[in-house]
Amino acid sequence: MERSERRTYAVPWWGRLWVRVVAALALLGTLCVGASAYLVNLAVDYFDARVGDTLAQAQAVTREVEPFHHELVDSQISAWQARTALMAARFSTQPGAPQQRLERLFDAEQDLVQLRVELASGTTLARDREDEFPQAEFEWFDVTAPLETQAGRSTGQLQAVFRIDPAIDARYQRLGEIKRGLVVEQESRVAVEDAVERVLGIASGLVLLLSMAAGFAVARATTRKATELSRVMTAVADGDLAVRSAAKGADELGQLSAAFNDMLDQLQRAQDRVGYLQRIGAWQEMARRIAHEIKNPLTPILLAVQQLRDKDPGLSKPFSKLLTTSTEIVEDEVEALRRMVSSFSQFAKVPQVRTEPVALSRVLDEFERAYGHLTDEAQDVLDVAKPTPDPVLVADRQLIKQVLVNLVENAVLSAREAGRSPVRVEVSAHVDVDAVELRVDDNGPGIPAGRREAVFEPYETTREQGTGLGLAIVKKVALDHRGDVWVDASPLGGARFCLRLPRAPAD
Amino acid sequence: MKRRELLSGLLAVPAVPIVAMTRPETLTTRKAVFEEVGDDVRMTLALPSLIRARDTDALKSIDSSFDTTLRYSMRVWEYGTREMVTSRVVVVKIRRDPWKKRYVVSRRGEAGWTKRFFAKREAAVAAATSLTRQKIASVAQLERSEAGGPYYFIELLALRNPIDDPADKDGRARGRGGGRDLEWFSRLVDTLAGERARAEKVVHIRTNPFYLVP
Repeated sequence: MERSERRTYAVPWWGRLWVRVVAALALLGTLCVGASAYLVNLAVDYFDARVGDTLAQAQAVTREVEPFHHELVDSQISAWQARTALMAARFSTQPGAPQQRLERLFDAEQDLVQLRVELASGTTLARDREDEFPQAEFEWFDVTAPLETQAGRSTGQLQAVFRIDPAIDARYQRLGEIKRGLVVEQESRVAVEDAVERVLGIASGLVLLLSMAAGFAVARATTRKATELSRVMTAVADGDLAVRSAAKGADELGQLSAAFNDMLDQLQRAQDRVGYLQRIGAWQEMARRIAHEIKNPLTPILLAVQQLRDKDPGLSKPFSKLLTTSTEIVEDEVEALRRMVSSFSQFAKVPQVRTEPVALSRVLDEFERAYGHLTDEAQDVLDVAKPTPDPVLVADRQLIKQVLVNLVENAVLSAREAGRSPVRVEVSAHVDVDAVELRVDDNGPGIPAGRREAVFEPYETTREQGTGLGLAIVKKVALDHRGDVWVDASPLGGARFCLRLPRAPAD
Repeated sequence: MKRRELLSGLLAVPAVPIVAMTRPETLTTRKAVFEEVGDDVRMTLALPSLIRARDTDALKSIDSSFDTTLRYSMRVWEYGTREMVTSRVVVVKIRRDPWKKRYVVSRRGEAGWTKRFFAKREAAVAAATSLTRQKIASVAQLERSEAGGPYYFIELLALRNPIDDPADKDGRARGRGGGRDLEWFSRLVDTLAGERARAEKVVHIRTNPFYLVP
C-alpha cells in the first residue's frame, strides 16, 4: 500500500500528464490566437490607414469643390448683369412701341421672372411669370441696367428679375452634408479602431478560453484513463488482483483498460483455481492419512468385539444382554467409520485427469445406461437431454461420468431430505462457441445464494447425511479439466449445478 | 427569440441604469421667460452656446453657404412627476446667401418655413440661437393654479447639424457591407465605440419652472 501511494503521489502536480497536455494546448492556443489577433490587428491598421487616406482625399475634394460654387454664383450674377445690359441696349435700339419691345425681350428670356422698364417720362412697363416661378418656391435675383442716354440725359432703366435655379443650391447643400459626414467619420476613426481592437481582443480571449476549456476537458478525459491504468497496474504490482480499472470508452485507452481487466479476471480465476487445488490437495493428503490411520485398527476392533461376544459363557443373562447390546453398538459404529474411511479413501484417490476428444452424447449415453433409473421409486424421474449437433469435449470420460453421478446423487439425496416426491432431476447441455455447459437441475430445496461458493469446499455440506466430499471432488475434476462449476437457482425449484468444460479445438 | 433581438437586449441591459438616471430634473437649469399670449404659452430663451463667436469651424461653415441646421426639441413636463404634457420640434437653418451676400435664417414652425435676412453674421447667429416667443403649448393643455402648483418646465434638446441615421433616410438597416454577421459586428463595434455623435453640438437643458395664473 505504501509503495502504491508513493508511486501515485510522488509526481508533483506540474509533472502530471494532464497538466502538461493542458499547458501545451494553452500555449499552442495562445500562439495561434495571438498570431491571428496580431495579423487581424495589422489588417485593421492597414485598412484604417487606407480609409483615412480616402477620407482625407474626399475632404480635400469637398474643399476644392466649395470655391467652384461661389465662382458659379458670381459667374451667374455676372451673366445676368451682362444680359440685363444687353436687354437695355436692345430695348433702346429696337423699333416698335415700348410695350412690344418689352414683350419681345421678355419672351426671349425663359428664366426671367419679371422684366420692368421705367422710362424717364414716368411710364412703367412690366411683364412677369410670377405664377410660374412663385417666390415661395424659388429664389429671385434682380438686376437693373440703365437705358441708353440721349443728349446726355437718362431715358430710364430696365430691371430684370431672374429665377435662381434651385438645383444649384440643392447640389451644394448635399455637398455640405457629405462634408459633415466625412468630418464625423474622420473624428470617429480612432474610437472605431479602438472598438474593433477591443472586439477582436474579447473574441480572441473567448476563443482562447473556449479552446482551453475544451482542451482541458479532452486532456483530463484522456489522461484520467492513463492515470487510472497506472493506479491499477501499481496495485497489481503490489499483489492486489482484485482491483479493476474504471476507465471506459471505445478509444485505445478504453480498449486497453478492458483488455487489462480481462487479463486480471483470468489471472484471478487462475489464482483461485490454483488456490483451490492446493487446498484440495492438502485435504486429500489429510483424508488419505486419516483413512489409513483409522482403517487399520477397525478390523482388530471388530474381531475383538466378535470374540467377546463368542466367548460369553452365558452365566448371567443380564450380562449377556448387556454384552450383546454393546458389541452391536461397537459394530455399528465401526461400520460407520468404515464407510467414512471409504469416502476419505475415494476423495484421496481422485485419479489424474487424462483428457481426450469425446462426444458429449457418448458420455451422456453411458451415464444414462450406468445410472439406470433415478431411485427405487418408480415415479421419480431422471431426464437426460442431448444437444444437437453433438459437440466434442476435451475431457476424461470416466471422470465426467463420475461427476455427473455425484451431482445427480447429490440432487436426489437433497430432494429426498427435503421430502420432495416425486424427485425430478434433469441433465441438459448448453453449447457455447468454445465450451459446453452441462446442467443438472433438481426440484430439491436449492442452495441459498450466500452458500453457493462454500458448498464446493471439502467437508461443507447442506445435507444431514452428507460427507461434504462429493462436490469438492466435482470441483477438482472440473478445474483439472480447465473448466469450472457453479450453482444457480433452477427453474425446477431446486438447485442448478453448471459444469463448464472446454470443447475440442477442431469441433 | 431571434439572435439579433437577444443581442440587442443584452447590449441594452448596461444602458438601463444610465437611462433611468437621466431624468429631466437632473439637467442644467436655464432661465427662460414664459408668457401667455392668447391661447398659447410662449417661451423666450437664448442658447448662444450652440454657435459661439469663437467657434471658427461653425462660423466658417455658415460663411461657406452651407446650411447650418439647429433642431430644438422641446418637451413640457409637469414638475415633480414623470408625465410629459406635450412636445414640439422647431428647426432653424442659418447660412450666408451667396447670391445676395446676406445671411438668411429660416425657421420651420407650425405654419411652414419663414425667413429673416441679416446683413451681419452676429445678428443672424443671435436670431438663430434664440427662441423668441416660441409657442411651447396651448393654454388648454396646462392647468391653471395658484402658487401651490402644478408647475411645469421645459426640457430642451438643441442639436447643431444633427446627423440622421441612414436608416431614417432610405429605410435601409444601418450596416457596413452585407451579411448578418458583419451587421452584428458593426453594431458591437458601434456599441463599444460609444454612441456616435448625434450632432456637431448638443445642448441639453431644462428651464426654470412656471405656472399659469388663474
